[in-house]
Amino acid sequence: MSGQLTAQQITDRIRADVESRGFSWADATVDTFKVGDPGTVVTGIASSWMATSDVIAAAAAAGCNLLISHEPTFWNHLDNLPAPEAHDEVYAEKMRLIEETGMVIWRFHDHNHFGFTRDPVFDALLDRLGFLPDTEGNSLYATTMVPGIPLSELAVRVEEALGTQNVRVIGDPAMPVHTVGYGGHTLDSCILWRDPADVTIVGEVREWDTFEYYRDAATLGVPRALIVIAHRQLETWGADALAGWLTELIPEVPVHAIDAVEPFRVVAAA
Amino acid sequence: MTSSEDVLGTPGLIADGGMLAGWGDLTTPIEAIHVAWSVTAALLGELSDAAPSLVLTRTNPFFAPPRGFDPAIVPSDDDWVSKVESDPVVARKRALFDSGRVAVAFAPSAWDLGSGATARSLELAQFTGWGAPEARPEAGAAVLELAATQTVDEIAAAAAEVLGSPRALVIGNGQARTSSVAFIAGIASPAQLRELLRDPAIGAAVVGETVEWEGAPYTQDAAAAGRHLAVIAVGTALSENPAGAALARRLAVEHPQLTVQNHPTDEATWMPHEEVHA
Repeated sequence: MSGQLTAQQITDRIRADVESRGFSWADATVDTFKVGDPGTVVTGIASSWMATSDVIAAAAAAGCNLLISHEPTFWNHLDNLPAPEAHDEVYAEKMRLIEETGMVIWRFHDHNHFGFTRDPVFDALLDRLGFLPDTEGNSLYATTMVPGIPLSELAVRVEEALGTQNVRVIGDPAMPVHTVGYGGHTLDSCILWRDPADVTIVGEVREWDTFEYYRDAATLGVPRALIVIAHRQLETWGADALAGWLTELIPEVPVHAIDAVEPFRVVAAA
Repeated sequence: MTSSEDVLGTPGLIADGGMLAGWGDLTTPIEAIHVAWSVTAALLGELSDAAPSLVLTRTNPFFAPPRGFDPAIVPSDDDWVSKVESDPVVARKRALFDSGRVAVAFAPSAWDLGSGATARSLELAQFTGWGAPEARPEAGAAVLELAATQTVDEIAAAAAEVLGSPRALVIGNGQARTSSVAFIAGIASPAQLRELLRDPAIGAAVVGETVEWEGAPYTQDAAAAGRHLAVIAVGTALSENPAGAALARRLAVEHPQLTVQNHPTDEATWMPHEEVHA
């Protein structure tokens, strides 16, 4: 039985919990309502990595009318709505779906990473990889100790743990790996925010800087390699973990984890 | 005697303000021009023993984030090079300039061939040899008709093969059939994909990359709305190599006294299940 909590009351409780643990709520944040009436009484909460139309439909089918999404709804980081002249059939259909389902969408990204003593999104990835017990530090600053296994073997381990073929690697396959580090979506997160590791696992980086850096590292004899997984594969486990946390924080309302499927399939060359 | 500066002054070669950085002595006479999407350490090592030359590149040799990209995602940083000065990869790469035989010009707009992103996409489409592409400037794209319909996965496999990648990353139904294929060199934005969707015949778009919080979910949402446009990502370097080849051809015409060579950038990555590791 759902309590009579509105979307605003639920997000206020999340914010209060973050602040109660000593973390301030940033003024400049993407963690805001994106669409829908915050005064809506919530029948169920869905947690997902990305608020795609398929996820919205699945959330509604599960009885939810508050979707908490880690990533944006409207195809840009700041969730700026398309200009009226860009209100195409995709936008119109997504808005129709949102209105038809009565979905309220709120983003929980910045404080999901930085509003906890340990970044739960990142811990969920480490847990999924089986790396958590062997990892020192937290978030992108963490380092996992690996007993000198070849890079190719580590890549297979990542592939199997995440259940995806979309694992791209730069580096000598035979390179022994002792330390694994982590990066965000930029090269500076791999080499400036932290001490570089033998291998850095990143979820979506651009080619023109990060790929080229690691290509040159291999050429120049600097033992640093890169494993690139999809952004979704880096963080979707955190959305699952968030559902568990919300279940405890908001016991009055049922909570469901809704999978946002990895967009990419790997097709081999002819 | 032609210097790097003379080459860089070629009318229409580089957009106003488009010469973003240079390394080496640009006033020294050169004997060759090298065009490379990425001026890799391997290429620099090769050229440091060769005749004095200019390398024209689309990416910063010291990996600085590109200007003009969404600052919310990749902050532009003019101090990047000084920040990474002590990094061993940067330091060893910098030493490759010590021969004094190579000058490098970071001028990404040269890949636009004087007419914007559409030119890069046209070159990509033409490179496949699949048909005569038509420019779609509103999308920065090119579109061509295949001789017969093919499945999305067949098109993806063929695109990877012709561009030299072991694989393509595909969003969408691999068994859907189409004969109308769009091409977008580099990153395909939601705005570009939106323009392509205005043409209901287009069933697939071969692109460099698409951002997972931008073009990728837009494509997924389009499918949910009943508009199936498959996105086939072959990698930005491979998608922009054909424009580099066209740039080299142009420079060879404009500077016949110099040797001009194009150096396509290889796919940088390998996958665990692929037999041949790069």
